[in-house]
Amino acid sequence: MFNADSNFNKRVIDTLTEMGNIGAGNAATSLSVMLKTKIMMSIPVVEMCDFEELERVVGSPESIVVGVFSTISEGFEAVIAFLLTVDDAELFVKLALGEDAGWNTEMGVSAISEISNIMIGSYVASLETLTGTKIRYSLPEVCVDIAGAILSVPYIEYSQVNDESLLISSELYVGDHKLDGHLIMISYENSYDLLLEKLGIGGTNG
Amino acid sequence: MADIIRVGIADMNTCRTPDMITTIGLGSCVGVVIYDGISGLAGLVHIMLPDSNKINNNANKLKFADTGIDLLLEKLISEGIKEYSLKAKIAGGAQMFNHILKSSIGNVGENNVIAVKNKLSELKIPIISEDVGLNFGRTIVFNPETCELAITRAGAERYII
Repeated sequence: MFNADSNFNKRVIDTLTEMGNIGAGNAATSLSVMLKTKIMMSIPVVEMCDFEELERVVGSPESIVVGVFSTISEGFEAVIAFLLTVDDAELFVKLALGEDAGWNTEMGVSAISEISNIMIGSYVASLETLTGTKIRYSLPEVCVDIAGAILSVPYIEYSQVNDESLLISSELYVGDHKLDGHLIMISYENSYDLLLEKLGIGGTNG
Repeated sequence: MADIIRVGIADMNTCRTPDMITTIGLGSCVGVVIYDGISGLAGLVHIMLPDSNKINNNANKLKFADTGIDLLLEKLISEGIKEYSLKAKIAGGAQMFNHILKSSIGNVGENNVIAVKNKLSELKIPIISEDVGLNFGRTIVFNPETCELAITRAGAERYII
């Protein structure tokens, strides 16, 4: 995925993959405890992708997704998002509330928002511990819409820097069942320079 | 067989009857359709940002309202659109989130709509109908034969403007 002229090197990709792995691992553990269910996340894929690839993260760009988004503004810049299909959202609401409350109700949306808040919080907390850097993130916001439309929001933001976004994406498993949903971080190529420097990697130009 | 020609983000294309032209998932982006209602020729550009002068990364002119509409019009003229009968329909420009990413670029959707309207007015192309703003994504399909712009959004019936 990385262009030959990009400053990215294998060490940077490996480091971002490991960062994402620690973040996703902690998020999965918190969620497992909260839902009393085995939740796992795959080792993340780190790639530079154009919008066509980004909007297909959860399948077709036309599919309806339940997305919970938070902006990271201190430490590095990124949008962290928990993207679920409608079926995935239904499953999480059932696990959280122990009944068929329906994701598309006030209780359902509130449960998904809280689940996401806990996941994103532990993801970010583990990055803070790892890098010794303060990371600030916004309260998560839920948006249910066409995948292409909601993913265009972070893409537009970062397209002001690069035409390609940097994507760190983990798949989710509930028990042995693989979801179509993903936990993703979208940012731009040099966004993690500060964190990489803290880890002695010297940023994307090093 | 009629085809439906797809236009990606920050992209444009043209179509002739019986083909139709579409763009999927307009969030804060604006889809601008230009047609003449006579020749059966129409064009669509998927605008992402209002102003190419405010962004350093501006090599792709189709991203911006100020430059993208010019390029679409140039292409349509080269393909023989009737310049005395130009019309436009626009859709998109929603605000998908209330808080997320608002700080740095403000309400992109609203700014995109304003920029598109200014550009069309400068080119003296009247806007026949529009479906802009609010907080939901839109998928649009334009049929140059009927000059109808069909809009699909999550959880609602398809409608025509």
